[in-house]
Amino acid sequence: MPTKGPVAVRRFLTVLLAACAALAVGAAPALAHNVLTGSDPKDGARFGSLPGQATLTFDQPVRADFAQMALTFPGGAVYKLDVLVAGNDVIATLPVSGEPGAYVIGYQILSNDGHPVSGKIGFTVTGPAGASPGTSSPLVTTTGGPLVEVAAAPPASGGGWVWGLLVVALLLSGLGILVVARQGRPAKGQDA
Amino acid sequence: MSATGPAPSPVSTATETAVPADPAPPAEVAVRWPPVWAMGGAALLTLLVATWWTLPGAVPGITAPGPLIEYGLPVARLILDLCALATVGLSLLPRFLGFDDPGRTEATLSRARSWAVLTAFGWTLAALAAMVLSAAEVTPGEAPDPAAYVARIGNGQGLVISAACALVYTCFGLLAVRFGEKVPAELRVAVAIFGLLPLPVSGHASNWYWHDLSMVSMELHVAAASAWTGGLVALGVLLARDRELLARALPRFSRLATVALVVVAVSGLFNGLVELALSPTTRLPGSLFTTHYGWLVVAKTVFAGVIAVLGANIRWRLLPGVARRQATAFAAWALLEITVMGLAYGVAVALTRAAVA
Repeated sequence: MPTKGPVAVRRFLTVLLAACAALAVGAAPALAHNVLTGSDPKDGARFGSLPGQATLTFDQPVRADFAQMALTFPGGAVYKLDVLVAGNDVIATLPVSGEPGAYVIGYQILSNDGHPVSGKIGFTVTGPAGASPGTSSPLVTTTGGPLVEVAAAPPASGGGWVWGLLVVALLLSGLGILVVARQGRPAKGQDA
Repeated sequence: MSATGPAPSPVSTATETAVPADPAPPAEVAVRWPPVWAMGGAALLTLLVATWWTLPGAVPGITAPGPLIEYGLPVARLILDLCALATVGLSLLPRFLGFDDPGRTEATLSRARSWAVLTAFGWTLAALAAMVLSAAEVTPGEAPDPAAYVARIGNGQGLVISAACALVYTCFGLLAVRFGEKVPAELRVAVAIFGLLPLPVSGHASNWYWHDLSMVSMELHVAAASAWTGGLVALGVLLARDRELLARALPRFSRLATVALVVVAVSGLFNGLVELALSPTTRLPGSLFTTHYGWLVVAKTVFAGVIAVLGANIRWRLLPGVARRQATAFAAWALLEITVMGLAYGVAVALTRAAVA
């Protein structure tokens, strides 16, 4: 009996390694957690007037789908922003005017590993109400806002095949149930 | 913890000395449930505390997913993990017990095979629930769209693949229920472990730079942790009252546990530190204690250390007595170790979701 133990462990480890090797070969593409590394406006920044656009910079390319940004006005009104995703950046055009006070940009993106990553950037507008747009950040001032093209980002691998896998597995499981149900009582012991 | 952690005292073991003769096989398997409650209770406790602690604050203008998803998703993930480790552990039991004495082991193994089918079905349901909740999490305020989520997000695909593997397991498991150990235990172990492998994709998975290495390390971590924990839970539930079978199984389990301990500790530390080291906004030595993620890594390391000490206690202090079929406090010590393992599992699930920075 003492000789069987190591054999059992070794065989188990072999199975483990084989399974890992199988997965490592077909490993999914890099999927990591996005982290916000910078923003324009910066958190806590002060402006004479509302900047023309807001840019959030992450440490790695951002998925376009499910990205959203919202601007909260000093009064508490919420303005959903149209977002454009370009590489590591998430860009939104801000409304052309707004009264002085504290603004908050809330954002949520879907990290590459499938987790939502959310946060907020606060900034203050000190100038007079109705200030002309684009004085501090004149890059993009199209008020229509660039519509999000979700298709602009390469979609992740088509995952439809996993449903097929699930159906096949379900059929196999049903087969197992059938085998047990047909035979009534489970076989007792090994008669081998 | 209070509900689960009784002081280690020799319960359920008579104090008489060795019974060398093999008694007649017990007609009924003496099952001990405390390890199951200890594992689940401890894991749920740390998971809820850690989830509450790491919950991202409300963001103005962005709809929050709501407590049902914020807590329901981690709980579904935990149920998935616990069902999976139970499936792996129950599948390993024949390997621990050996095949040379089916007359003596068959009652226990038959029970293990039936349970493994049930835990695999639980695994399937938990994986699908986690998938739907993940889909709901990314579209707060709207109806979840699982099809789009799975089509686009690796996390969703990983959960569906895992559910499919669990269903394939139920097929082999049911065949084993019907035909006994003629269905090889290795096959069932392999299918169960294969079903665990897609799951790290739904964690932080890996970082951008050391992708391949940390991926393999993560896979080893998950597989070794489930074999180790599941194996101990299976022993604690099904064998703790059966000195003869425990004497056969524990030495083999101990060898596996030693390997698993090293694999789990090394791979876990590697992954946790790499994740922190490559986080662009924090620096490593400090971020262990300034970020939620770092604290959870520290907590898990501490738990792993405690588990190692408890495991060493079983291995070197109790094992000789167990091997001589003597009365030992194995049940109590195993219960304690399983409780700490549960604490670690709860933290582990929270860790897969906590923001790194």
